[in-house]
Amino acid sequence: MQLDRFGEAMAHIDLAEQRWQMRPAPEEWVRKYVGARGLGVRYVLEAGPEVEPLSAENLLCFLNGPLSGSEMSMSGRWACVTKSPLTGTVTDSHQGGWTGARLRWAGFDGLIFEGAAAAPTYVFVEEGRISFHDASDVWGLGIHETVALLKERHGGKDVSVNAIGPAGEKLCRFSAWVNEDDRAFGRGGTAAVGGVKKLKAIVIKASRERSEVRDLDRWREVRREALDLIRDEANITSPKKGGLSVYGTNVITNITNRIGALGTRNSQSTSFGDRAEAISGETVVETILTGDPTCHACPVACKKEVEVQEGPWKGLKMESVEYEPAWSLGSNCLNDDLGSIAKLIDQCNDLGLDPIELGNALSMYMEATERGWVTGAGLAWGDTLAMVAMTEAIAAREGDGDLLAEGPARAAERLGHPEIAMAVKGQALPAYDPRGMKGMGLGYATSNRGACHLRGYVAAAELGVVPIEADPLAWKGKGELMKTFQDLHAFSDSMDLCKFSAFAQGAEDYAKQYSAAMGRPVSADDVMEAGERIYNLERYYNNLAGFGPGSDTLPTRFLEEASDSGGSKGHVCELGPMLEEYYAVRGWDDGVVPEGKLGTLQIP
Amino acid sequence: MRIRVYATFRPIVGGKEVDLPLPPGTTVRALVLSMVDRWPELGELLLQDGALSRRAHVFVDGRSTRYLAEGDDTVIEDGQEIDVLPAVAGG
Repeated sequence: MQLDRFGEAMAHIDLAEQRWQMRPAPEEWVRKYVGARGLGVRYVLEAGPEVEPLSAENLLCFLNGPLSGSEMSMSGRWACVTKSPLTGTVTDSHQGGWTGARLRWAGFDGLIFEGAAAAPTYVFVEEGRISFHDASDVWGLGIHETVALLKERHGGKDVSVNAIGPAGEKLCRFSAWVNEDDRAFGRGGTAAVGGVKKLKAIVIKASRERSEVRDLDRWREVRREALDLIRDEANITSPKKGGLSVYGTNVITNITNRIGALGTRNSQSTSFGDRAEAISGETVVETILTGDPTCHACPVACKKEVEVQEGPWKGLKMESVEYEPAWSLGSNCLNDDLGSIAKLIDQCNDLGLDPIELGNALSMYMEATERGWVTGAGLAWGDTLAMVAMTEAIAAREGDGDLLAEGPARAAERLGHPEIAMAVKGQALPAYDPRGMKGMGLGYATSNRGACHLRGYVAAAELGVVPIEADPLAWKGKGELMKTFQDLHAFSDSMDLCKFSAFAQGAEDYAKQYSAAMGRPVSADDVMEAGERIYNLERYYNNLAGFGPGSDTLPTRFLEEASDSGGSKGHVCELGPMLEEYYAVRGWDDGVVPEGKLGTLQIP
Repeated sequence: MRIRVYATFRPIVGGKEVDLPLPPGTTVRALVLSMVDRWPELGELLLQDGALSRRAHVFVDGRSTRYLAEGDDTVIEDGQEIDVLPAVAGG
C-alpha cells in the first residue's frame, strides 16, 4: 500500500452493465482536492449539478483519503459523496470502523457507482478485483441480518459489510448506509441513492497492509508525534482519561443542558432541566456500559457498547448512545428513558436511518400533534412505544411513516406548517441550540450540506476545549472563527481523519501528516488553502444547483423566540450580523462564490 | 453550598454533587481552592498558575466564569446554581 500513489486506484462501476474499470483520478484533482470529501465533490460536480438525486444518473462515490487505512492515528475513515435526496445539495458523510481501511488494503482508493442495476445487487471487493452478486435474498432484510449473512458467505474473517436497510430500499430521504452493524454514513440520505441503484451492499475482504512511504523514518516520527498528541492527558482524547474517551460524545449532554443549548420539545425550550442527567454519558457509563469498542488506528475508543438493563428492551445489546441521538430522540422528544433511546438508535442501525433526522421528524410530528395539525392519532411527547412503532413505519413508508420518511422539512411543509421543522436547506438541526451556542447557529446556516454541526465544529471553542476564547453567547468574531474551522475540517475530512483529531491537532500537524504520507511537502497555509478551496467548490456546486441569496438561514424559532432556560435564557441567535462577518471573510456575495474567487482558488 | 460536578470529576469527588460549608460572599476562586483542599486530586485539573485552569469551567447559573466580568472573582450569590466540570466536547 504505497501512500503516495493515492488516487490511482479509482474503480468506476457500471451497475447497469455489471462491469467495472480502474481509472486513476486526474492528478490535478488529487493535488487540489486531496481525497475523500474534496475529491468526491469534484467527481459529483462532473456528473452535473442538475442531476436528479433519486435517479440512476446520480453518482454514488465511496472514497478514501490519502491517510485512510494507514497507521496514522484516527485514520479509520472513508467518505460517501453524492447529490443528496434530502437537500438537493452535494453531500458527504463519513464512517468509522474498518471498512474504509479494508478498501485500501484490498487495493482501491475509491468506488464510484454509476447507473442502476436491474435487480438487487451487491458487490464483493477483494485483492484488486470487484465482482457482482445477486442480492435478492438479502433485499428487504435489516442491516444486522444482512451483515451477518454476507460476512459468513465470504469467509467471515477480515470481512466488512457496508449495507443499506429497508429504509434505503424504500427511498426514505434520510436513510443511511451502515457498516459493521453500527457505523453509519448518517447524514444526507445517501442510502436512498443506493436504493435507486438497487445496490444493497459493498462487501470488502482484506487483511491489514503496511503503508509504504518514501521516507519511512519521517513517517514513523510524524505518526509518533500524532499519537503523543492524542494521548496527551491535557487533551480530552487521552485514552481512558480524557472526557471523550471515558464517556463518549454524550459527555456533553449535562453541559449543554446547563448552558441552555440542549434543545427540548422540538427546540421550544433550551434545557431539559434535571431530566437531562438520565440520558447523559455519565448515566450510560454508570448503568448500562459493557464495552469501549474502537475504530481502525484509534486509541480514543469513544464508542460505547451497552446492554439495556430494564424495561421493554431489557437485554438489548447495541452501540452506541451518542450525544446527537441522546438529544434528538431524548430531550427533543421529551423522552428521558435511556433504554428506549438505545432501542431507537439500534433501529436506526438496523433499518438504516439517520438518528438526527429521525428525532427531528418525530419531535416535529409531536409538536404538530399537540397543536392539532395532524389528522388521526398523531404522536404524543415521550411516548416511547409509539416512537419505536413510528420508526418502523418510516422505514416501511407505511401510514404516517410515509410522510415522515420525506424528512421533517418536507413533512412539515405538507402539514402546512413549515415553521415547525428545525431544518436548514432541508436537513434537520443537530444537538446544539443556536441560542445557547451562537457560533454553531452560524455553522448550521452556512453548512454546504444543510444543517450540520461537523462542517465547522466551533463547539470545540465555545465549550473551551481548544485554546481559543469564544463565548458561546457572543456573536462578534464568529464569522472568521467559523471559516477557520470549516476550512480545517474540509481538509481533515479529505485526508480522511476523524473530526475528533482536531481536539488535539491543528493545521501544522495535518500538514506534517500529509507531507509524510504523500512525500510532497505542504505547509499549514497550504492545508488551510486546500480546505478553503474544497469549501468553495461545494458552495460553487450548490450555487449551480440553485442555492443562493437567502439559502443560508435558520428556522425563525431561533431568531425570534428567546431561550427560556439555562445560561442562554433571554437570548436569540443573531444570525444576521454573523452572516455579514462570515460573507466578508469568505469573499462571497450573499452566499454566492463570485467568479474572481473561483479564479483565485483555481476552481474547478 | 451545593455544587454539581460532571464527567471525569465525578469519580474524584465520589458523586454527582457535593456540599461545601462556604459562607455567603464566597468567590469562585475561593470555591475552587476549597474543592482542591478537600480533593487534592482535583488540583492539577482545576488550577493552573493559581487560577482556574483553561481545561476546566465553573458555571454560575449556566455561564462559564471565563465570560463573566469578574472572572474567578465572581461572588456567588444565594440561590445561584454552581457547576464544576472539565472542558469537554463531543460530536
